Amino acid sequence: MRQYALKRIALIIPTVLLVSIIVFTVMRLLPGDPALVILSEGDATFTQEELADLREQLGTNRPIVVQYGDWIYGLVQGDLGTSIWRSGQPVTKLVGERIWRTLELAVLAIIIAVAFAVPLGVISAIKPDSIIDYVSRVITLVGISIPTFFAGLLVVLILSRGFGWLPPLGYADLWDDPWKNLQQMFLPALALGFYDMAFIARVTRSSMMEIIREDYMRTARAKGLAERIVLVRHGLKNAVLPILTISGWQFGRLFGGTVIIESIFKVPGIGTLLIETVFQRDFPTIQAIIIVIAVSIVIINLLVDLLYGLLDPRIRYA
Amino acid sequence: MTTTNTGQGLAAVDADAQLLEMRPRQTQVQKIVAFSRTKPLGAISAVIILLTILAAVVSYAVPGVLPHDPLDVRAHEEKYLPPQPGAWLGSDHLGRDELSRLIAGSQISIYVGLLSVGIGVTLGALIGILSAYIGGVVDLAIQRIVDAMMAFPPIILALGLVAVLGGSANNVIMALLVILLPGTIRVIRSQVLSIKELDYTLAATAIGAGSIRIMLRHILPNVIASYIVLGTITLGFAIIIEASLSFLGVGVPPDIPTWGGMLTRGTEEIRIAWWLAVFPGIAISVVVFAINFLGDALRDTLDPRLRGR
Repeated sequence: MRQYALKRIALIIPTVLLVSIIVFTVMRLLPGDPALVILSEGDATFTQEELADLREQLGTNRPIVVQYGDWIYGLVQGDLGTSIWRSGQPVTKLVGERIWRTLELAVLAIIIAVAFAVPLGVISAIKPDSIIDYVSRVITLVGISIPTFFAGLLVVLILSRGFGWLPPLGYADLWDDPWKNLQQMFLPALALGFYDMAFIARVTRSSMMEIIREDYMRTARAKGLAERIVLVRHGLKNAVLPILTISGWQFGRLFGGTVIIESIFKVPGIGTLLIETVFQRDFPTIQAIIIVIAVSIVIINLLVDLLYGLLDPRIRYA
Repeated sequence: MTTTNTGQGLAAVDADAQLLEMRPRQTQVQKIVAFSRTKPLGAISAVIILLTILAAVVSYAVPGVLPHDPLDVRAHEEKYLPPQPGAWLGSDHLGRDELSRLIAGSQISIYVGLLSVGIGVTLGALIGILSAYIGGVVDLAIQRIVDAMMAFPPIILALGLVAVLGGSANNVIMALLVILLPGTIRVIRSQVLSIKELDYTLAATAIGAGSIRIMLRHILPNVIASYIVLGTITLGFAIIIEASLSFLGVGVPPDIPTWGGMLTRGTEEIRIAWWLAVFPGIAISVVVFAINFLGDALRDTLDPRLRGR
């Protein structure tokens, strides 16, 4: 296991390096001169001096390789640069304040998704072509086709108009007021997790259906074990591997979804920060947010891989 | 003796050829009829998609077919008019006609979707074929870049690109190209890797066919099915990304009617006028739903190997 873990960890270094080069290329090379882009927005006029000042501030007057080296050097030390929009504020602070809220949202969404999806998928698999199976298949098909933002709107519409339920106003952090925070986060997490719920339920259904036909299930029943124990200990335990992989994989997608869900539900997370900075053309902050998200996804994928190896000995020794 | 033999042999070949000619060949129409019989949902989806494309093209070419000018704030006397005869989908906060805006909104979705997928999947397929065929260092380099590209959530990469390029329909297409390429390259490459080892490719190499001839005549025709399926599936994805960007207000300029943009306004007013959010939402969902269904049906019909992707 240790060798497997070391090998997997070593492999992410080149990936992260490449990710950083892509972000840098997109954010620094593509616009040509970010200073010019920022200043010439709209019909604004500016002097050569202002242009030179902004270039100096952004550091774009130096050779491109030096810029990249500087950025990476700072990155390794946890320095993500300075924001243009919130002039002078370190980006690390801006991102650090907000990333936890986004992470909370994503974790809640995954918990809600798995909590609904696994029972739905299992029931669907053990009673194929029953009414529950049909209902669950329709729900899951709708779930994977509805865009995240429409799911968000439907959740608001149904709960507020249909049930008159509204989350408390004014954002509260988890550690300041846990109850208020959870009430506020429930709706966005539900909307965010809807797609993943559908996807995980489909995977659970298909992997359970395969497992039900396995010899060891028949053996377990022949031993006289209760049906519940057969399904949970022998069935679900084996079905959990693909479910876990998909859930970890979906986690990356959730980060994308949070951008939209946070802006609908006005959650001050990293997604709303990204939108604000895109409007403000705050290139250093945009660049920082994208790299933080991409690296987080690489790390989550690594953790899923490691967990997979821990749970399934066949992977470790392959 | 030998001549007779050859004669008989030739006769047999002739008979085979005749039999082949007698076998009824499916015309395009028959193929479509067969597809609608086996995949009725796929066929209905195809009709929905064609109607949407038709609505977009016709309303662009002849704006007069729309019930009202989508930008006309005096289309209706009242603001926030609920759906009723004459204003079938109601009116918005400025009194503009929601139905006309919805039809006009399909133009951007279809334009951005078709163009980005057309260029993106074609380019991705070509790079995928080259990457797999050339192999070695080139393949390794391309695949590592593809790996890294896949670490970005599509919408976040799109936001970054639009921030840099500026918001316009063509820049959204550019951003979508960058997003669509890695997945397409990956799928086509894996197919070419197996086609490369098949007997007919080896036979072509053995009789001295050049690389370009092999790629164009032997590999390309065999990835066409995957290409069509990928194009269909990614079209839904492209439409969602465009709508998401417009929804967030960073895609196409806000004065052009788009489904995503209409949804943004609808969200803000969801408690006063539910129809402003619900209709554009349904429009996007139905089109994407239809595209996914058609994609699944085409995949099952054309290329069962892609199942489960």
